[in-house]
Amino acid sequence: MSEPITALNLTAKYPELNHDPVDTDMYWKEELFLQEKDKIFSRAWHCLGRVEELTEVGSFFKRQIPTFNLSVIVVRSTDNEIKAFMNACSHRGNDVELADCGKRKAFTCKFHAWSYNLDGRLIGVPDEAGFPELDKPDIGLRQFKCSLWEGFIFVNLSSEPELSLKEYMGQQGADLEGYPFHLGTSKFQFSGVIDTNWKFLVDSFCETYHIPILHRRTINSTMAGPDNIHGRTVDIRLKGDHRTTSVWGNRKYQPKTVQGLAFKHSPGVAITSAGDDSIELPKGLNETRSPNWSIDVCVFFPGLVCVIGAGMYFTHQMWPVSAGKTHWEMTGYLRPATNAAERFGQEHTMAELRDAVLEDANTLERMQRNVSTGLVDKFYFHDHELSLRYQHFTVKKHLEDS
Amino acid sequence: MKSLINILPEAFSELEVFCGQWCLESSQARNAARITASMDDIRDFYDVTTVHAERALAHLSTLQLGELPEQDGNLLRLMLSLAEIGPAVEWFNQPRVRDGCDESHFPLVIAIPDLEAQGNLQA
Repeated sequence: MSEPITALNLTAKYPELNHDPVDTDMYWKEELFLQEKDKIFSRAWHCLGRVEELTEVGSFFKRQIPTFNLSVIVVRSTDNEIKAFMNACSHRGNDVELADCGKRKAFTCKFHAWSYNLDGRLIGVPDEAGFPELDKPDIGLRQFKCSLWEGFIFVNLSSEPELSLKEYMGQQGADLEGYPFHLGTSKFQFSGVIDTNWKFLVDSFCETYHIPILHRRTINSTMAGPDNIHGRTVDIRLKGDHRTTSVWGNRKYQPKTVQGLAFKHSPGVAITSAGDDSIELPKGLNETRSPNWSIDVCVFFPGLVCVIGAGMYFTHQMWPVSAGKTHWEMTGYLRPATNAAERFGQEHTMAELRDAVLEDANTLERMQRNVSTGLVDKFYFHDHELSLRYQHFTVKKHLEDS
Repeated sequence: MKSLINILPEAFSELEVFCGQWCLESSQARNAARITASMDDIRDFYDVTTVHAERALAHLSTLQLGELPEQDGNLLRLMLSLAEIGPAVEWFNQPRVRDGCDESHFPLVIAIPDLEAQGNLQA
C-alpha cells in the first residue's frame, strides 16, 4: 500500500524559519568563505574514517584535509586507542609518513630520520649530541583531539574543542545509534575537485524536488515516480545544526533486467528499504515509519552527509578549498559478498550511484558560474527544500556569532 | 588480448566471444571500456549476456570469492562488466551519462577487489 505524499507544511514546524527568498552571497564571496573556514570548519569535528580500517596496534592511515592543506596520520596506538597526529616532523616540518596506510612500530622521517612512537613521542634523534638543548618529551608529533562515534573516527583541529564529539553529534547522532555501520566493510570511494561551493554539493543530496527533472532517466523511477510526480520528500527533521531528509521510495517500481539481477544478487541492497531488511532501524531513520521510504540523508553540519538505507550506506565528505571549489569524497560501505554472485550486485550499486551523482555535478558547476557573477542575488526555496534553507540559516547564524 | 578459447567454464562458452572486450581486471578498466565502446557493442553484449546472466549468477552463487577457479573468475569479471554497462542501456541509451560530469573529474580511487574474499575493511 502506498501512503499519500507528504503535505506542504514542513517549514511551518520551525518558527525560526520563514518562506522568504534568501541572499546568495555566502555561495560565492571569498571573504565569507574565509569566515566560514575560521568560524565553522576550524571548530567542527571532521570524520576521517572507520575503526575497522585500523585492526591492530600500529595500523594507520593517512588522510588529507584539503580545506586546511593538512596531512593527518590516524593510528591505533599502543594502548589500543585511536590517535591522530599532524603528519609533520618536529625537526623541520617534513612529512613523517609517506605511505597512505599500513602498519608501523614507529614513524620515521625520511629527511634526517627523526622517529616517533605510536603515541607520537619523539624517540629517536640521530647524532643527538648536536642538539644540546633538545627537550624530547616536549616536541613529539602535534596531536589532534580524536574521538569515536558508532565506529567513525573524528578529529577536531582546535586545541580545546568547544563541544565533545557526543555533544557535537547531538540528538541526530543519538537517534542513529545502533545502525549496523560496522557491517559495511566492503568499501569503494570516488574523489575529485568540483567547481562549486561546498553548500551546493551538500544541498544536492538534501532535496528531492530535482529528482523528477534532473534525474528523469535514472533515479526518478525509484525515488519519485508516478505516485510522487513532484518529488516530495517523506519527511525532513532539523536537529541542532544537523538535519535529515527522508527520501521517498517507489514500492511499485519494476526493475529493468540488469537492475533486477543486481537486487536479487546483492548483499542486502534494496530499492525501498522499508520492511525489506532484516535489521531493526534506529529511531532516527525513517522516523515517520513510512512504507514508501528509500533512504535517509543525514547531514552532520557542516560537511558530512551520511546516506543510509537497507544493506548499505555511503558518506559524502565536502572539503571546501575556496568559495567556488570543493574537494568531494564519496565513500560507499557495502556489506561483504557472501558468495561470488553478490560481487555483481555490489558492482551495479557502485555504477548506478556514480552515474546518478555525475548527473548532479554538471548542474552544480553551472549554478556556481552564474551565482559568482553577483547577478543571481536571491534563491527561492520550496517547502521541501527546507534542509537547504536551514543550511543557509545555520551558516548565517555561525557567521554572525563573534 | 586474451585467448578467446576456454577462458570461461564450458557451460558458458557462448559468452567467450565477448571476453576480449569485456573480461577486464578492475572496476576502473570496466568503466573505461564502457565509455570508449560504441553503443552497438554495448547493446550486443547486453542482449546476449542478459539471456545467460541468471544462469551465470546462479552458478556463481554456489562459489566463494577468494577461492574461484580461473575460469569462474573470468565469468564473474564478465558479469561485472554487465553490471557496469547496465545503466548505459537501462538509463541513458548511450555509453556515458547524459549531460553528466566527465568521469575523470570524479574517479574511483578505492575499488572493491574483483575476486578477493571480503570481510575486512581496508584503509
